[in-house]
Amino acid sequence: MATKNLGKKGIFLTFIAISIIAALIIIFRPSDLNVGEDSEAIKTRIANVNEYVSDLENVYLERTLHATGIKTINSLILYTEINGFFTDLPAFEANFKEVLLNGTIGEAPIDSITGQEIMKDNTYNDWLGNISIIAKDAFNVNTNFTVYDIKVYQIRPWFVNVDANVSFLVSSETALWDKNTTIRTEIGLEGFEDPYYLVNTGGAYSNRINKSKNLVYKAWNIHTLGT
Amino acid sequence: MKKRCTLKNKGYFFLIDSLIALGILTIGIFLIFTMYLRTPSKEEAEIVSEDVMDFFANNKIKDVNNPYAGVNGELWNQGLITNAENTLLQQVAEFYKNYTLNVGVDQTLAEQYLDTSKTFVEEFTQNAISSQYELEFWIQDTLLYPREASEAHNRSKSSTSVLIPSKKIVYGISNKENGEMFGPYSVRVLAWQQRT
Repeated sequence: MATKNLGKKGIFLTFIAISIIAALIIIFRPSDLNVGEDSEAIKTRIANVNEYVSDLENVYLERTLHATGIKTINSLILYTEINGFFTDLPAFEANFKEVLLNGTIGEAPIDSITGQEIMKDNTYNDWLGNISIIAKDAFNVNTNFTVYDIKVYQIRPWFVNVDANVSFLVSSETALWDKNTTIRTEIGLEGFEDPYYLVNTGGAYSNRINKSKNLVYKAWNIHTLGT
Repeated sequence: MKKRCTLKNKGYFFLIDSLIALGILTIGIFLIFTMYLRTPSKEEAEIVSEDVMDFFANNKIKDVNNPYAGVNGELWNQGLITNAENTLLQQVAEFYKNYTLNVGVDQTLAEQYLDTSKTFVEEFTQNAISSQYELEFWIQDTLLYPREASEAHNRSKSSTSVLIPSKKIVYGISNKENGEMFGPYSVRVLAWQQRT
């Protein structure tokens, strides 16, 4: 009787072992629902968009501001050749902002005034629009920009600074990025046509801005300019 | 006497029982790990595509020692590459921009730029990945690698169950004096494991 009971216990233990292993296999079996694959795809997608947002904030907005800033300066130099200097600094700042953002001056396309295609499809707003379209195509995200202000000023010789106060909203099905940032770029003035020559000679003579090698800050005088 | 037999039996029972349990455990663990072995293939394919993309995005022309694409290489000497600071991805984008600018204007030149961009990508990818993987390199809607997708290539692509592309947006300044830019373009690298 005792033997029979012991034998039954052994079989019982075997069944328990089989049941536990079966349960383990069922629990740890990769699901047919492909939850793992979905989450992996979402993870990759968010990582891609996050990288895009970071690149936008740290590189793209600055680089396009720099490039359009150069084009704006070139356009305004040609504009002053035709129309003379701006009346004052605020007038220059307002026109710089309008040309950089819209490619217009007094709502007229600056390219039609200067006769050169510089700002067409190359305004800051154009470049913001371009990246929105590409991002929609590449990552299926919506990107909306708002440019609050553009400031142009000078803090050291031979360079012009341009600041853009921009906010952007990147939204996808899974996440949303809302950023407000001030983009700052510095444009070297060497190599641009000197508007002083263009305006005062009526465009008859042009001279590119060039930093003299003999010029020492705070030590320059009329005698060093000719060398 | 009867009791002794019972004890003998108990010993055999326990021995057999433990062997069966060990067998079940072994089979169970084997089954679990075999099932999990299926998953890395898709992750590896994803890693391959990201590796290729990162290689193009993080290495500059000046950093590569390549007789075709490097500084003082064939393309450099032909004047087709002028900025050693460009990353390989930016260089591809610059070729692509020149291709699109010339389409419909100078078709021969356009084809030349497209061919150059294809050879450029081929130069850095053809020996970079294991033969068990297939790879595609796209810029916008133009396939750069492979040059032409064969039927076998397309069949292999359509038969793969998981295909996670690595994507990047590429742009840059092509002329610092007048602020001329190229891009932004969407670049996609797709890699998948060949079915045997």
